Amino acid sequence: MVLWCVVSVLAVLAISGLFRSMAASNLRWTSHDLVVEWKFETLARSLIAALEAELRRAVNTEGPISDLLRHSLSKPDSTWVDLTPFLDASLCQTTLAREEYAGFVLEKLEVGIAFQTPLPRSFEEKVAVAVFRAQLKLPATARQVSRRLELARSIKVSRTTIDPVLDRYGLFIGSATGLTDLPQANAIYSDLVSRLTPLYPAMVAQRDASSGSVRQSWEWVLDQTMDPSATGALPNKLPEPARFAFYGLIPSAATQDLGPLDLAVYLQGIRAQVDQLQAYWESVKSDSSKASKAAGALAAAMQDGIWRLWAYQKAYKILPLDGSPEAARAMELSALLEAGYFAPRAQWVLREDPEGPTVEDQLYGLLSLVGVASGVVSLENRKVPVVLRGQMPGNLLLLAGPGGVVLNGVNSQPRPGDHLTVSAHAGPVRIQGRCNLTLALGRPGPGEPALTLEFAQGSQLVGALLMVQRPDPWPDRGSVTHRAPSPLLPLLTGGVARSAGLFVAVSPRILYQRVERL
Amino acid sequence: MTRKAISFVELAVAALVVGLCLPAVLALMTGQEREVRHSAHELDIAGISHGRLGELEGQLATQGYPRDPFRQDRSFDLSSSGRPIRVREQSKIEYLTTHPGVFSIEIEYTWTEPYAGSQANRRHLASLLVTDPQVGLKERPRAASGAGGNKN
Repeated sequence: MVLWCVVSVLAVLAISGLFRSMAASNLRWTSHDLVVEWKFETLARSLIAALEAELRRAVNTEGPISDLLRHSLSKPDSTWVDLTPFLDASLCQTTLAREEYAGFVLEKLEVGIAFQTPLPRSFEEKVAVAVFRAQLKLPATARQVSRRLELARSIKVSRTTIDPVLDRYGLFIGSATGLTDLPQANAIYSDLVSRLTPLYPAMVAQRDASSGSVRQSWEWVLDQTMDPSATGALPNKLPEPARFAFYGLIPSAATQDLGPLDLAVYLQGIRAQVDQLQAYWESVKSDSSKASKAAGALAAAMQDGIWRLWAYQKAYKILPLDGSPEAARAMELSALLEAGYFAPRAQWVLREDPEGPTVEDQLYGLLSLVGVASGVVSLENRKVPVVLRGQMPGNLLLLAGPGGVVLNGVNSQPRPGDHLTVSAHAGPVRIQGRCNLTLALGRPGPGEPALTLEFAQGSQLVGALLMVQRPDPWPDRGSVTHRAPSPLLPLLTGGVARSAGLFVAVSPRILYQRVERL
Repeated sequence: MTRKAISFVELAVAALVVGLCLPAVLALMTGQEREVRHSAHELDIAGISHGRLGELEGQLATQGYPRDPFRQDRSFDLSSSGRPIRVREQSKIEYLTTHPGVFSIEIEYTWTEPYAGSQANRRHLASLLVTDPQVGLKERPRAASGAGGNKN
């Protein structure tokens, strides 16, 4: 009996020892497995990071990946586009060979586009989802299983300039009604013509009645004066639609002072000058020593007004907004300048933070970090204008917030191939000095301040000035010199012109990340 | 009778002592106890290294991916968690010039196991590659010469 008791106690203790031993062994394996799982995660993330860096460098460098991302797209597409064969995976092999990852076997490593959808009003600009996958067999000492890490990032392909259909215009105003008083401009023009018409034959008569040096003087003046009775000498009157679009300044390097675009006001000034010169001419026309000079000055002033009206309709198109197909097209072009068109294209968004750096500081911080920057950056300044100054190398499209923007001699000496485009839709827009950029002006949204446009004394915009509607008041100074945007990239796909100027940004944020046990 | 009873008590005590000590003795003899302790240390260090990799990755993100190498050498002990060991940590962040846009984070932990006799010195390695999200913006897109299309 006693012996049985002793044996039983020994048996129980032996069994407990065995269980303890098994539990300890199990604990050891569990902790080992845990370490292996952690190593799997860091290894898989490292392999994907190596591949991701390759992808980031390839998206904007001429090559197959750049081409694939710039293909036109008419509707959402979820066909898998494998990018792995075009990427260098040498760093992945080096990583796998590291001591801490001994025993891991790479089963699959891939990256591709899983889904892409075009941005509104574009076939080339798009949002895509890039998916990275690293599948590894865990070391033999752990459970014989494989794991797959899948990670997704979004990619945005955006144009860093305005839509190419607007490239040809140095000046575009979608709704220019009120830019000038067209009936008044025509009335002044008619007045000038009616005054020049009798002046010319009077000058001819004076010449015929004179001789010697006086006759020579009349002949010189007549050479400088147009004969209003000659066929085709006078331009047609301007159309007088109630509502109109206004666009032009097509030739490259053509310059337009903005003040004279209010033609009626400009012609009023000329008519006042003509009135003075005519009074003088009337007073000296019988004095042979002064008459020819006075008549020449009067005729020249009249001609200035007439030619100004001719140049106005030669350089610009005044398009009645009357529901015609042409008018509808002008409205379509206007829509390409609205804030709502640009907003979905933003690749980086810099937000105001009351306790952090200003939007302007964030922008310059980003630029100093990056050096040569390209892409579409949305500046969400709500109250204070962002001041852009100095050189901005690269191809940037900056979307100013309702706080407005000051362009202070920005890109005064641009490098070939660089182009800056600034879009504003509300608040003050002020140009100072010489700025090389395309300025696209939209309309304020509900509750946002009105957009005002101001040119400082002697300021010059080299690029293009494009707007949805005429700002009120119209700037009375400053000039625009047309320079079409240079494309960011060469025509990568051999003749697909619209692919120029497209920039691909890979989001720094992870859309999702998951580990699968296989 | 008395003598027999004493004998039973002696036997019971002896059995109890042997039974209690046996598993411990067996564990010590097979090295199991030692391995369990080592595993626990290894797990501790692996956990610390996993967290430290994340910390250094965050440091890169907040400091703007500096190109200068970063090295740190520090020591700490695990006595607070009941481990009588002191660990040396050597970490390094390096920009891989051969692979632009990639940073390598490497950490090496070394410590001495107090229960391991001549096999006292231990080492744990951890590494992680991190991508600079600004890569691709720094270099100007370039055109390969001789490719087709308009180069305007």
